Amino acid sequence: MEKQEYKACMHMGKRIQRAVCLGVLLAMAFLSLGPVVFLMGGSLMGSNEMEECIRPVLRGGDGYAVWKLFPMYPTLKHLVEVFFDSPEFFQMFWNSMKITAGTLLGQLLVGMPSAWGLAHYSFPGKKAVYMLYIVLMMMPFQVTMLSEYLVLDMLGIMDTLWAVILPGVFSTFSVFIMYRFFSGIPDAIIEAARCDGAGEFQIFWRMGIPLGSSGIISAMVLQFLECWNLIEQPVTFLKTKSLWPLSLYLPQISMEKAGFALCASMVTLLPALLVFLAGSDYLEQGITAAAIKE
Amino acid sequence: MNRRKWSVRERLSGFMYARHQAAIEEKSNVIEDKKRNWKSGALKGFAALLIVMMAFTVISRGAASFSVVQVEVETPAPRKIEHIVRGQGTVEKNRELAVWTQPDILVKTIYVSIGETVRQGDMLALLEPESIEEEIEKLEHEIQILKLQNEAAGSVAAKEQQGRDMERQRAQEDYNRTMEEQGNLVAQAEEDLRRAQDALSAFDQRQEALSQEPVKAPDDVAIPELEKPDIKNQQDSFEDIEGVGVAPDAVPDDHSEPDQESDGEPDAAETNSEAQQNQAEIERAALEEAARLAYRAFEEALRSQEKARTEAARRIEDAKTGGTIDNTSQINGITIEDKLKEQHKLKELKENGGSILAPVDGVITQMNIVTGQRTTDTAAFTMADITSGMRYVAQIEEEDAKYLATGDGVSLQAGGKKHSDLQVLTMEPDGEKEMVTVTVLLEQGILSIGDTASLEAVKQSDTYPMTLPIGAIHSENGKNFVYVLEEEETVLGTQLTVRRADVTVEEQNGQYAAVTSELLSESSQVVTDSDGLIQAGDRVRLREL
Repeated sequence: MEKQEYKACMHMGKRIQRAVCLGVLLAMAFLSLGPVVFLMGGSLMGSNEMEECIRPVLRGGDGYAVWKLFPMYPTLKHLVEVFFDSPEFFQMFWNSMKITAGTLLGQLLVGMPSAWGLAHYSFPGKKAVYMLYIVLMMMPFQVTMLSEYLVLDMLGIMDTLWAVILPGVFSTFSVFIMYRFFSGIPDAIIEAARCDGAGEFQIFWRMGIPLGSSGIISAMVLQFLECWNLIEQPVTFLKTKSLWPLSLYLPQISMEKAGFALCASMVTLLPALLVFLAGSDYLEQGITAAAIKE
Repeated sequence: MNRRKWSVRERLSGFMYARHQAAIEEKSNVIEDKKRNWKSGALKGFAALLIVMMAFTVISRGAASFSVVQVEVETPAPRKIEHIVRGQGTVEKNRELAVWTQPDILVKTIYVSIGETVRQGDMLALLEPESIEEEIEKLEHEIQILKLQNEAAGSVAAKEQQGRDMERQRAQEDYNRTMEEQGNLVAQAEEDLRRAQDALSAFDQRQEALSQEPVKAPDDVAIPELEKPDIKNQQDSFEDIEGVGVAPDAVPDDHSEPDQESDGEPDAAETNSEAQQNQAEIERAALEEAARLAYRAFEEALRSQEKARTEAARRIEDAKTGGTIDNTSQINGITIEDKLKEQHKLKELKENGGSILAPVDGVITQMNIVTGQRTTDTAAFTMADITSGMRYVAQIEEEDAKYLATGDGVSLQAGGKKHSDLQVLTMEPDGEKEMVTVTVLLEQGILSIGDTASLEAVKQSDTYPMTLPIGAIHSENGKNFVYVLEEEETVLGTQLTVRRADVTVEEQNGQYAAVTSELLSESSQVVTDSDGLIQAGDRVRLREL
């Protein structure tokens, strides 16, 4: 009987513990998801209602700003405005798409072989190169901004999309992620393939990429999220407004058009959300791989 | 090897375990399938999102192109500002004259109507001859009556005049007689006064001779020199007399003679001399009294003479003024003259057959006689004299009037024909309607009375360096401005926008305006027309041709 009671108490304790953890996690999740929920509600809120809610913030009046999860008088006016009356939004959307797609393609062409080489080949200075990759990965953009500016200007690609794409193509973080995954492929398989007469490219193409696909996809997903939210490089290297990505559009919207800004933000969020949903598993694996210390 | 036989319980638990494991595996497979579905759904969603964004890219561009205002632009050009003043008016008579006839004559026939053009000498109307004859006879009778009245008035006046003359004569005679009589009375009184004064003087002389002292009268009586009785001055001369007319009380009661000194003789002699003196004084007083009485009588005679003279003179004056003035004969005389003139005119009319003729070439503008009725004192007809030319009268807007002045050249357009080289005669404002009346003198042959024509006058200014179509000028709060096209780098590339440029309008007409502005140059592209409302900063595009 005592043993059974002990077991029952232990079971109850575990349940309570689980409930507390769940509560804390839910609260934190709400805090994290709160802005997204407000964003969705605000994109359907009319201008007058929004003015009432955030007048202390916009006009500097007394009191506190309030927010409603769902508007009293929902309207699709801002949505219509975004989709039908704002061709500049779509111009910037496709600029962002071009930058992201170009960077990802470039990384597949350049970063993938780099990661495979670092993972399965030995060459003089390999460790130095690897360390260089680590150091460059640690450096913020502001450190390399001037040197990048000079190089791009020398190449004559300043104020073009290549000025943003090229530096992104040679990003070291995706190489690092893919390197971790390529490193997980056993050498024995590769030796066996060599014994079977497969060439190095064949090994890379037919074995390395399929076996390291999860790493590749995770790197791509991470890079997509990074490229989609680029601000510093476009501000620095792009002067022509017609080349600006979507990340530079939202700051241009005045506070008087807060509803339009929220709706545009929600639409901007969608591609990143979908990509995240599609690659969440791989993302998880990639973050895990990045966290493992060698 | 020996295999231990499993017990029933062991076999059962193994089966359950396998089932449990299978269930777990199945569950994980389901989860994996769900995850795979999620992933493929997300990928499909991403693809769908891209397709939707592509579609909306096109749609939003199309929608934006509808909302972007299309404009027309023009660069400022140098030109002269032409002001065309236009107005509508009619041709009117320049001179109008009245055609008179005798009043109270029956109208037999009227040959013209209003607006009809007649030549000089044309018959306008015919009056009834019998009616004319009646009027002549009537006038003749009236003249006779007046003449008779004049005769009667003349005789009455003569008689009155005769009476007045007689009255005047009598008054004069009365006056003369009165003056004579009164003169005699005055002379008599004067004579009496002189005698009394002489007696007094003689007495004084005697007394003086007796006493060898001048006898002083209690009052020195200054004896005036008597002058001829002058009716006007008599009163004044007698006012100069001192003591004359003084009341007898003025004569002192005590006849003390302050200048006489007593010698101190003995009482009997004194008594005798005193008695003599008293006696002399009494005599003297009597003489003085007599002199005074004579003086008073003389005064009285003068007064009565004056009174009589005045009365007689008034009677003469009354006789001269006579009765009221009667001008009846003169008035009748004037009336007779008028009626004779009128009769003469009627006779002329009768000799003319009773016809009213047009004195000049013209147009009948008014008719004041009616067939079968009598003529009146007003003009029978009013005519516009076309020989003196015509006038064109038009009205123009007050704003346009500042571009036109007296003497400026104008042209008239009527009936497809244009008449140029005409000049403005007068310009008069019509305050009520805020218009200005312009008059142009027309020579004979240019249009006819009653014709309508449009007036046109063109005035050109100096050449302005920057002029724009009037549609390019906007105004707000009393300030004029234009919209200038500019290129702007936007997210959608190089786009056309408009900016506002304030201008000053120097001069303008209905088409162009001359402007000056520091923000404009000769190469600026100014928006002259748009298919929607635009504001500074708006995106626009050039109109499709």
